[in-house]
Amino acid sequence: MAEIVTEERYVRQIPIMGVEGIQKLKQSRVFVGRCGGVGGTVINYLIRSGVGHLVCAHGGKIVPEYLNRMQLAYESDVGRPCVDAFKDKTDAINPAAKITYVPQNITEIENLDEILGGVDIVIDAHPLFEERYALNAAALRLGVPMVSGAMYGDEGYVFTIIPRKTACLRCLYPERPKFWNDIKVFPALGMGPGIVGCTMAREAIELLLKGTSPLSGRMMHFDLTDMDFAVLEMPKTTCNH
Amino acid sequence: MLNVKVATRLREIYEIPPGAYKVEADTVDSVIAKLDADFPGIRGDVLLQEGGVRPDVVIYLDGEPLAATETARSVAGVSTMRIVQAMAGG
Repeated sequence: MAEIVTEERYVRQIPIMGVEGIQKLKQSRVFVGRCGGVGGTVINYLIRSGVGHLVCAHGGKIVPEYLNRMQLAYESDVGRPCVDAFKDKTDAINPAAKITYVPQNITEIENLDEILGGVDIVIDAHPLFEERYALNAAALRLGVPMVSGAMYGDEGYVFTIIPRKTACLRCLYPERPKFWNDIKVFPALGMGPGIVGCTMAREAIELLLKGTSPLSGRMMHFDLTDMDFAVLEMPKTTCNH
Repeated sequence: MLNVKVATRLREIYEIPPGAYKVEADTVDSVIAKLDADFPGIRGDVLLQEGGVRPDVVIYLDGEPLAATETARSVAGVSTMRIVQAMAGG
């Protein structure tokens, strides 16, 4: 059996997941929907951990208001297509990570099932409910776990959906709040998205390595205004969505 | 005394201080009624006019989700009630 070579950059992970785990991450495929404050954090930590293949969807251009929270955007990127700015950073973080950037938001993608073909899990980091529901529907269609994370100000939550085993996003929140009709409705400081993104990345790695995770069917909820953190149960329901 | 944690956006609208709102009440409905007495209008952002929890809100009692139709449920023995509104910030 050929010896597995583990690059020095991953040696601190060996006690956590073994060399086999590192190899498994290298072969894993993850879709990330939106690469902003939350999604960018997820991407950063997934590729630093050695996840080998990502498909990342994000449309538009970098604007100044992104800079207070998006890890993959710098001041010099203002005006550039988002995916170009993100690619520069991810290439520098881990050139071995094979990332396909899709310069569109999920609701603009016509061949979504084709793009998601072969992924092991999907990451929901969208700023609009229409986009979140679209990825939720795709995850259920394809039978792929979805790690979902969101925030508003200093409050946030993360939960993991296992199709046909746990509640889905539509089970949890059948409708969006009526006021949420624009990407600018939510206040944001970088720490909330950072916590959400870090938690999602850790969930994703557990799913990739073991097929299950601490937040499968559960929600981690936090509020930094009083440093309240809790793990909540998702509804036990038969998902028919 | 029940600790009620209210979603950030609702705290903003109704100027509720951060942290836990403390209340003594018998049922989820009566908790919401007391909240509404102190912060008029909040009931409409948590419950439907015809009754039941709004579809963009989940109420948790000590970490367990309340079914949308069970607002008459007793809160006896419950330590913390969380009102978590759907979020999509990223």
